[in-house]
Amino acid sequence: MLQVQGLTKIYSSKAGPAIQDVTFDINDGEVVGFVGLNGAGKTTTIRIAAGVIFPTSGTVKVDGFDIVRDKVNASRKLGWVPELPNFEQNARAIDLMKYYAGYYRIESTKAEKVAMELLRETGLAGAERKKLSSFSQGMKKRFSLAASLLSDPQNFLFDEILNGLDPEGIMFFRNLIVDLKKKKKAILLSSHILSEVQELSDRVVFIHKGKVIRVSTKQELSAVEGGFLFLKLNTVDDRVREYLKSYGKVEVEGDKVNVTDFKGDPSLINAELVKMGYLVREISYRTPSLEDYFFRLIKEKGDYN
Amino acid sequence: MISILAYDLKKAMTSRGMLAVMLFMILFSLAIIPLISQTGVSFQPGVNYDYSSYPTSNGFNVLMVAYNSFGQPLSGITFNLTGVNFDFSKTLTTNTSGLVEFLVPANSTQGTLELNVNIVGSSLSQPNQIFLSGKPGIPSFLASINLVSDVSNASKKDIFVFAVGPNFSKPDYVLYYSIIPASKAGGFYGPLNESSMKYLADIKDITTVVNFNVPSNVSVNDMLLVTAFQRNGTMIASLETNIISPNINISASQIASGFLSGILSVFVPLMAILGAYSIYGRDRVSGVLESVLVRPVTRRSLLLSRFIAGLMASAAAVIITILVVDLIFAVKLNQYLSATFIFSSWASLVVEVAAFIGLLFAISQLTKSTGALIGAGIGLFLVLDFLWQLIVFFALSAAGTSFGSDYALHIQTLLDFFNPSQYLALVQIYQTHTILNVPVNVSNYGVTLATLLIDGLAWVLLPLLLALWLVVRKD
Repeated sequence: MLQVQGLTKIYSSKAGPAIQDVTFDINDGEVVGFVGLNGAGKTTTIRIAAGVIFPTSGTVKVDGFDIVRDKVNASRKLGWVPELPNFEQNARAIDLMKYYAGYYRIESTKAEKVAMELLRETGLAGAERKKLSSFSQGMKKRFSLAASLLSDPQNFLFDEILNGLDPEGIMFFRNLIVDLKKKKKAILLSSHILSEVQELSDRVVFIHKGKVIRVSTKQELSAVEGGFLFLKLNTVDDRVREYLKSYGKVEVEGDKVNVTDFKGDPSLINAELVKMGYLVREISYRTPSLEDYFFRLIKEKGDYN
Repeated sequence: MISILAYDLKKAMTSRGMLAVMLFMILFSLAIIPLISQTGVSFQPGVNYDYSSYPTSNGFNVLMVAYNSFGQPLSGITFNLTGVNFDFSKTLTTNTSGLVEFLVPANSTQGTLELNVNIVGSSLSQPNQIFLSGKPGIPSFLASINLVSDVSNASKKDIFVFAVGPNFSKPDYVLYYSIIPASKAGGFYGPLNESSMKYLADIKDITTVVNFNVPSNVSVNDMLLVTAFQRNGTMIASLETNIISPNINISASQIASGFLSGILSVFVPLMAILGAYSIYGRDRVSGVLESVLVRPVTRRSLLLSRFIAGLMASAAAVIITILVVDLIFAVKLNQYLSATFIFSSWASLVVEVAAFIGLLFAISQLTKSTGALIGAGIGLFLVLDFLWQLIVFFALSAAGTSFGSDYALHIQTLLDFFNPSQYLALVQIYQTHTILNVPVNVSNYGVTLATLLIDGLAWVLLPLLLALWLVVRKD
């Protein structure tokens, strides 16, 4: 379990806080999405939670261990895969894994075996003795994952792990997250690919300008109304415009009509328009995505340009 | 934890910067070979010779000895001998005792004959003429006294005596010496006899090397007089030479000391800075250290682990370099540096290494880019090490202090306590009782065992403690 409580980070007093009073938690067996624009504070939060930078105030507890005050115990129960993993370029994968294994008190006689297994499990078979400098970004992420699995931790921080991966890589990490969830691990998943977050997460933490603006469950997200209705008619006049206004915000462009924040039944709309004597040449409906929801939240805050 | 330290140690020892400086230092240590030769300490035995002759009915019997600068007889040395103004030519080679005896035929042995001497394959350092004279059976020179280098300490001088009895039989003489005070040097010493001189050795062989230790109470301007007497008290040979003070003897340790302080002191801090940059600084500013910091380790433990690894690697590099110097001495001078000297030099340099590693670690916590850190490292090296003496010189000059004055020595020594790169220099001041080659009572300048220990401990601990303090206060 990971508990983030009142986290604030000020890099520079001139720039103001990078994050402010960020609070959320992740239960065992739960995947929590972490969504926000660039610079919203996702990576800062994750880096504090990983123990690589200090919070100005607030705490992060990993299975009850404070990441600042009780770092060794907290880190032992935590795996972190950063967006851009940065390793010693001249080190060989197996050597670095064995070095990291030392910190987890894995006996040197066992370390090589464990490291080899993890490297193979994460798709790095054949690259065990290659230098990290020859690794692609995707391979570095796999290596970072392998290193994070050394202690079989209970908690994971995945920061934009799907960025820059090929479809096979995305599939690999998606399946991995599903497997880890089945193993009752607590996972924080930060990603720009909101469809993936939506699909994998049990809850989503929305962060904007350093502050958590909402934490929504999967159920809450699926119950969100306000989809998109698209119509193509033989003609669009004021009567149509007036009729559709009661279902949402209407935008007309020639013979095409977009109804955003649509609340209604598309099939009934279709039937009514036919009754009114219009010829409906095309009609489509899309339920709101996480992305729509996110931007709506930002608009509600009045911060979206 | 051993695997962690082993990895960090390997990382430190295989860092290119550190290896380059280590290699550079070893190559520089080879430069000590010409340094030795420039001090005048000769380790290549040159060929010297002495001779004596006496007339017979057929001519002159001549005995020559060839010896090196240690006074060791040389066999197989070939002399080309030709008569001056008379018909004689002979090529002769010395036997296993370094001796060659031959007859120079002459119609008359009343006067003196002159021979030109050439040694095959060697340039002569002595006059290349010998003069044949003497009385029948009584050699022209019963003894000849020269200075040679001590075989085990080339800078120490011993006394070589070539002596013969009647008909070139084995001699039976006695050697005495006297220290002539500087005030009386060059004058008349009064009657020389055994009672007015000190016994040195019996001379019972044709070649003898007498070990001579300069008495401790003499000054460098005093003269040494060595005289050979027959058993009946008749003086047969004498040598007057400058006294050989222990202070002007250049021992291997002194040469190495100058070398170590002059060259290693410059490069060891550079090696420490490069090592600290490779093992910690670069990783910290580039973000690589975060991949380690996410493991179950505290920042302080990580820093301490890297510090120990860097220190161990540098300490190993320093001792390797010192041992290379020692090896050169062993091969070239047939002697080893003393264990005390090796240990004190190594320990002093390790203090310097610890200080510079600690300082660079601390600076790493304050810099955000590789460029800034490299710049800071170069600045550290230039100010505290490479240009330090120049900075002190200009500072003293600017303050109107005469460089080399007693006051300046006080200031310089005091400043050295505040610069880790000068720690070896301070230790050497303590050991040699000299500052800038000026013999002084070093305790008057604050250089005592206690102050050295405190200063050394401070330089090992304070930069490290500063780095440990910063590491939990700066991201």
